[in-house]
Amino acid sequence: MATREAGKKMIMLKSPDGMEFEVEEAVAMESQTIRKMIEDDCADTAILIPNINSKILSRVIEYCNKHVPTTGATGAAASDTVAPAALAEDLKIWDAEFIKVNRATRFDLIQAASYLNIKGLLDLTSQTTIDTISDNSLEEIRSFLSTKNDYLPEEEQTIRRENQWAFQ
Amino acid sequence: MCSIRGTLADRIHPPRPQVPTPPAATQPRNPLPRRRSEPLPSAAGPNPCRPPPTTTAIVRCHHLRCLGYYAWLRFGRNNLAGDRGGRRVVDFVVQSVCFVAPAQMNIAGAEYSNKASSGVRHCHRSNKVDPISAYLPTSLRPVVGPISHNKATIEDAADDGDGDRLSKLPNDLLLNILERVDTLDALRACFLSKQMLKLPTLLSQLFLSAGSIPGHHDSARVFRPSEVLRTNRAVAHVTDNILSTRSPEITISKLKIKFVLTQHESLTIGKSVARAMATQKFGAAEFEVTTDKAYKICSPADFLHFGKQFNDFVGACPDAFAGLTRLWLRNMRFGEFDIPNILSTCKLLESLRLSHCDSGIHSVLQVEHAQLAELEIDQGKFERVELICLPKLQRVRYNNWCSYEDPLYFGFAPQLSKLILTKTAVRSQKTLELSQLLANVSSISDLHLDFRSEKIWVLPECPKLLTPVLSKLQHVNLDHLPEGCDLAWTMFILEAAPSLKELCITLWDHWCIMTTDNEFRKKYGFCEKIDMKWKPYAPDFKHKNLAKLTIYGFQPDDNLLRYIRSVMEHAVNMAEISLHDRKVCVSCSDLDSEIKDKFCPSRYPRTAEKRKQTTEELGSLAMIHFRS
Repeated sequence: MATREAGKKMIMLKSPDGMEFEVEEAVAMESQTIRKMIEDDCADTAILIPNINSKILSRVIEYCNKHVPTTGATGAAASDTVAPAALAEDLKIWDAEFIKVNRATRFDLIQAASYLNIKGLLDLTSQTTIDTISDNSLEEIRSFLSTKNDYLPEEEQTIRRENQWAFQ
Repeated sequence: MCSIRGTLADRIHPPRPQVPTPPAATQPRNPLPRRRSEPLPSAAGPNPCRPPPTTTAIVRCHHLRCLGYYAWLRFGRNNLAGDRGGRRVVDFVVQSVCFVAPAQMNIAGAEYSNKASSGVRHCHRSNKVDPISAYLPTSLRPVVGPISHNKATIEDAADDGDGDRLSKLPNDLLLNILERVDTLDALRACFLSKQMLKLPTLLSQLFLSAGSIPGHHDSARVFRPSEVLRTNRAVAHVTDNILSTRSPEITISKLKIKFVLTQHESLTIGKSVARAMATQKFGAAEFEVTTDKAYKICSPADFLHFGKQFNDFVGACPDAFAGLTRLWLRNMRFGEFDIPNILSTCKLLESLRLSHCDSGIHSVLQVEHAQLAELEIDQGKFERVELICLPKLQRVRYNNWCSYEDPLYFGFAPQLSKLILTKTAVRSQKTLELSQLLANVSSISDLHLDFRSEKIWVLPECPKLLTPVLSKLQHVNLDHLPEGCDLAWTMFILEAAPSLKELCITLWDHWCIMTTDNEFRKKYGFCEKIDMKWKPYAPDFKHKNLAKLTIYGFQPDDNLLRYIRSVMEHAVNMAEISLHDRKVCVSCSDLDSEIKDKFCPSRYPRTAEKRKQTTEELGSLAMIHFRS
């Protein structure tokens, strides 16, 4: 239920496995998908988030909580003494810690970020994934991501022959 | 809970108990057009003699859209119910519903509806009720099954969490991930599995670089020229391959190729880009051309050779250059008319960067172009660059000119808004008079002057001369000013620029970019630190717009405190003064201890007590912020 608590509008998010999360409207609006819904005025009751389970949804909310712009009465005090650059640095460190999850969770977060349209989270998760890809050799990536080698031996031969540059 | 109302609810009445026909087998690629045209099974109507007309309607369901879903519903129109209260009412029977999930649709931020055809998923009939179906009227629920891509999120997390998850991501998310790195790295990742192998043809952003040698992410690795040339061959090969095999219906939103100028590879790249430009849609296309010898080891003959080689390349592939939007050239010496010729070939060029390029020592370059918005020049031996007619020019950056006169002449550049000048000046260097230099441009809003910790090469002129050219100036950045010198002279900008909003000053004796050998400094006329002479034009003038002053390299010495007080006095609407400690440079810490000894440790106020003392000296508590 949307309620008012200490002057802040609250939004209820429900995951398909029945968990309910009450979050500030500003936090929920970090998701462009939910923002659209609120702006179109259909968020007067709980919002059901299909296909994101409670474990992932709680992580997403944690991310949004941290990244919601600090404005208004509480934010002004916090940003008064800290430079924007320092805040950005702080967020970066927090992000790095946040994304230390197993890869299954990371892939779920990618999909959740894409579905809820949270650009920052999509950038973070996708970038982390590609960093692990580009820093390693092909075999390392394959074992790291447990990507199954689904080539037939002769197919792999052809790929290797035609793209020698990639296997040097 | 939301329910279907409004447009859709009006049309679905009364709910029909019959179960609509499920859609045909899933066609993941482009299913929508086919579905629109295929004949619909006719719905039972009230008049059995004449089969009722059927129609397909695509309804954007308001409430579903809020959740990011578009619903595409197929209706069979079965009854013209006649007029009801003057309104013509048509009864529809919903025959099938399919959802378009945003995960499939939102390709690189594109609008949902534009990409709809690539992302339509049919709903399967199932006993499970999908959460989304809760948003539908009860009569519709049986047809709505779980959205197929749900499975990947919810179920896999439970079972094979560590399985082959990467290739299971939807294509648009995989592409989003792959487009974050250069294309050679992305291709290496695509060779992981057969499923991913088809992705390169779908990429809409291509960045190919001869620097993308395997292992290039390790900054400690040093690469041999032969490795770069080998990667350059791969770049040419892959460019040709990918441009000729990719899906032509996907626009190349951005193509950037960084390559070494070698005859064979350049031609391969040029020809394949020209071919692709003729047959495919392009957004931005960029060439960054470098040479197999670095600037430092190039002889004058090398510069000439590279210039000629590049001219031949342009001559061989004019069509590729005609479509370029950005071009960056390095280490080339051209003939007098070569650069204007190149510019007239590159009709769409928006950005040109020349690093260590010129058309001979003390040459004059005249630039005319209809589209050029950005011009950057690093080094080079031009006497003067004349911007004759550049109606779209917005941004100019000139880094270390060699001329002893005005390095730039502005002709017709009515949109120029940002000017960045960087120069390490010696004694004989002409001091620039902005009123002269900018005589024909009054549109500059952003001015960045970098003095590289050496002589100040700009003359503080009186507002009478300067105000006409600086009237639109809003942001000024004075970078690398020698530490410890009086800053009073910078007030000339305040006096002359009434619209100024923000002033940023960086004080920095940046040793690793300075010449520190005394003999050398003397020989080449480097100046010792001296205070710039300046007298205020109107000592009690008030500035109404300046609201922000930022100082890097703040030290609580009299000089600087006096300066800040003076700015606060004049700028009556000042809102924020940010004081930072010295900037830190990683390479400076590797310098000799002899030079390091010259450094005085920073006296930047770190403790609350010292900060309080400094703010009291400045006499203003509210607007001073210590940011380090």
